[in-house]
Amino acid sequence: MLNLIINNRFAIASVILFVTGFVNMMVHPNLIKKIVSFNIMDSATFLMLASRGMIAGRTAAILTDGGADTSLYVNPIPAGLVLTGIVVSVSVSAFSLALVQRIYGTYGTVDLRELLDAMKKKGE
Amino acid sequence: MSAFTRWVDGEAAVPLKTDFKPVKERKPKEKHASLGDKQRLDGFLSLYAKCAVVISVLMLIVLLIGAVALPTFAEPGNPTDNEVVHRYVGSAEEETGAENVIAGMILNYRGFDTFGESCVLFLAVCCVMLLLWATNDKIKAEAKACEKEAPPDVILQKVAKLLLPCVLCFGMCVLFNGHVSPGGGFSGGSILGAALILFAVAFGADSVRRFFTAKVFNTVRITGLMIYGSMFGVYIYQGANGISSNLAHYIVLVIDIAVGLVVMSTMYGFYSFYTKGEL
Amino acid sequence: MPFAWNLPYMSVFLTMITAILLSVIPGAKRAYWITVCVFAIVTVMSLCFLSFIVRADASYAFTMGKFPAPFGNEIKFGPLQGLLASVFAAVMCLSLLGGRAELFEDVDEKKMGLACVMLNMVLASLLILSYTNDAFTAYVFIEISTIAACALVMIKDSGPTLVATIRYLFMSLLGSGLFLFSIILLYAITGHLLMPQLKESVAKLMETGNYTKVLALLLGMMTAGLGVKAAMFPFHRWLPDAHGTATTTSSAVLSGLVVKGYAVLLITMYVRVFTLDTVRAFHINDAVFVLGFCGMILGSVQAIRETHAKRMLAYSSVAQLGYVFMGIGLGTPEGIAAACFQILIHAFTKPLLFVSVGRLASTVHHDKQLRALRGTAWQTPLAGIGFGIGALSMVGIPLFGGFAAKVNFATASVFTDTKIVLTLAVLAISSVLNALYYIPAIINIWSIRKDAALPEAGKAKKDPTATAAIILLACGVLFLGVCFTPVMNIIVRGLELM
Repeated sequence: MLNLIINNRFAIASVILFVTGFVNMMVHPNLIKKIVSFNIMDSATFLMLASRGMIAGRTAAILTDGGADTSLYVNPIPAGLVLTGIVVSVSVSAFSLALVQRIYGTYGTVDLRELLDAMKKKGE
Repeated sequence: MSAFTRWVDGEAAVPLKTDFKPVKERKPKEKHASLGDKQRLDGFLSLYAKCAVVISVLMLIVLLIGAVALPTFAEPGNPTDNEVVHRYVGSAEEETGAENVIAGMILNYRGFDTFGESCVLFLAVCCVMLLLWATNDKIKAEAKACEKEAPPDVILQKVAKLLLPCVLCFGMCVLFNGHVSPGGGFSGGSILGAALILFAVAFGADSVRRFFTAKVFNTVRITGLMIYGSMFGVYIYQGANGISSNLAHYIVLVIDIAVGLVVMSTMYGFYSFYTKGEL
Repeated sequence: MPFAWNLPYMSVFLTMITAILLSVIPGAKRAYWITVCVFAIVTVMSLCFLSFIVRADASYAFTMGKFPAPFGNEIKFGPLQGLLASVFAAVMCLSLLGGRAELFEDVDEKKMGLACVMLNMVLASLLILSYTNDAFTAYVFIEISTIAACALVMIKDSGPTLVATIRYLFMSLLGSGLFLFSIILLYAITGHLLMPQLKESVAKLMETGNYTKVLALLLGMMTAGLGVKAAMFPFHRWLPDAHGTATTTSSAVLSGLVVKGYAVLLITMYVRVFTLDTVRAFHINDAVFVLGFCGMILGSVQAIRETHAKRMLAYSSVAQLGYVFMGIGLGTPEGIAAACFQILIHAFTKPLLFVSVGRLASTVHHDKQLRALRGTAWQTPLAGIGFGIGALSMVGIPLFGGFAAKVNFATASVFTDTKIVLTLAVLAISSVLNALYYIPAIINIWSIRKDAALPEAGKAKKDPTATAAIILLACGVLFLGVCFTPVMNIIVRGLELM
């Protein structure tokens, strides 16, 4: 059992992080905290992905004088996918933060409950 | 008049609930109703929170079972260590001209994904502009409330003068050597963008505006993306139709620089729209 | 390789490059008409491609670059993809035409170009979601469609739309997070991202029994992730707010097309990667069936309780998506073919309803409460007729498209062992429920406006583009309702070739 956990320590850590982000995103009424939890969730997926590319005893996939010997380098695919994921997550965070800024300007709150109250009061 | 006849008459949309009394009659009730609504909302939200926690605990258990069953970490011979990886490492230099296999992979083998990714970045700027670009008085007033240009700070300015050349050189270096060493368009572009932001913070946005106007911002962003789009479009046409060309050999470098320009202007655009609602 | 096989990738690049250029082209009107033209061109290109691929009766993998699968990106298309792409492009174009007047009122003139960027990107992502042969490309374009769709809700810059947008955005992010995680798990146990290789590896894993736990987990996560984004039943709460408050064009595009993109991707993943046998082995399809079933009933019940016309239509979308998921949940090729047909028919009907309601409401200062719409059909008879056609199709009157869809579901259910009674019962119940809110709505808009509390309905302004859009969309609904056999043949053949 312990062996299993140690063998997959990164997968387990990333799963715990993922669920942490998930539950916070569902429960927190504060919009900014929701965005932060979404970022935690994304980081968890990146951790999972990056750990999948690792192969013990090899180096990063940038060819040096060793030439193209495939047994020297780790898997380059997850690194590329993580890069894509990070860019997407940055873009989405920027978009949602801008939205929150506008919502704060309109209703004066970033709390989802107060927001729904404020909307009701305005009759919208 | 029964609900049914009203429904047939088209007066009420539904016989279930809809009751089209004039608004005045309902007014005395409203206070009470809104209180009830609030309690109901609170009740719903706490129930929702409890459900969310239960669901998440279940999810955690299921995911942990899955995580333990995954292939062992960092072992050679995992399913991921397959012929695709060998091909990428083995022939990336020859097929794409990039010693940095990751750059070769994202800009050539899987270049269409990366084009999509650049479009995500482009879309994010467009969304931020849609939201925060102060074209009418309402948004302008909101933006004014957020804007508080700090007075010039001597320490910041001195440090910025010292740091900026280094940051710019480092950014250029990362950007232009992306195909042979760690780095590339995305990382180099963000470093350059950070340099611009530092400049704006230290010397005021007006001093950036002297050389980085809205026109320059748009031109750099659109040119970068257009270079990427059109070049990759041609490359796909040649690749899929079996037309031989040596476009593949310089596509990585050119696209890397184009992406770098896009990322740089995007980063500064985010900062600028967040703080002032314009460039 | 014939030149026609280049058309799909060219139509995608055309829309994306137009989107990039539109962000700097000044002038609201110019941006709008460029977008309309591009959509029309893409429609024509997709129709040409459709006619070629139907005649060729085959499906092709098209490498996006020099390197074939499993090394480079790839798209793959057959008759089904051609059909979906043509319908998506055509309906996009018609929704844009139909909501023109309201779009120009709701969107700031300087920001019209940016709104058109979003429309173009939505079309590009829809095309790629139906063409893609690469799981990770699917993820990237899901994100593009998420951002662009949220932006389409918020282009009408008011308080309620901003709040609706952020709720929509958070739900969508949850969905795409789950989808990304499932793709990573899939990559971890197979080592591939391209669909043909994924299919081989999954088949091998099923044979040897390795990693079946992970496979079941990721299949569930993928279904849940795409389900959240496609408003599958318990995750549908974001939809009425987002679709009900947006401007007419956005509502039509979001309700009619965007949610369908995810359903199409789910179908592609089921058929091309996992195969229906695997899905059935893990009983995922049963869960989808039950959720679709609940969505059909509860979506309609909530629509009955709604007094706001657009929110009523939005809840009706939840019910109609329930049909799609029920079809997928049958777990047979016939069920999936019926689901595809439902996607097509709903893509025509819902925009028709939204455009008609927008047109009707334009006579009463855009008040979209059902009560305010009373008698407005006499001011704009064509919009009234359009609404009637759409509503009757939703109810399932013969000769209208919705009837054909229901017949397909009923026939498909015969091929399953256990689900036949349930399917037929739910089809009957949901038809009655649909009638319960659509028929009164039709009566309402065609009755006489006699209530003194209501303001006088003004004369509708002439709007030739909306007229054209309503006529063409109504023709689409009637065409699919009358000659559905050839369309079904294309779908069935397309699924076989997928």
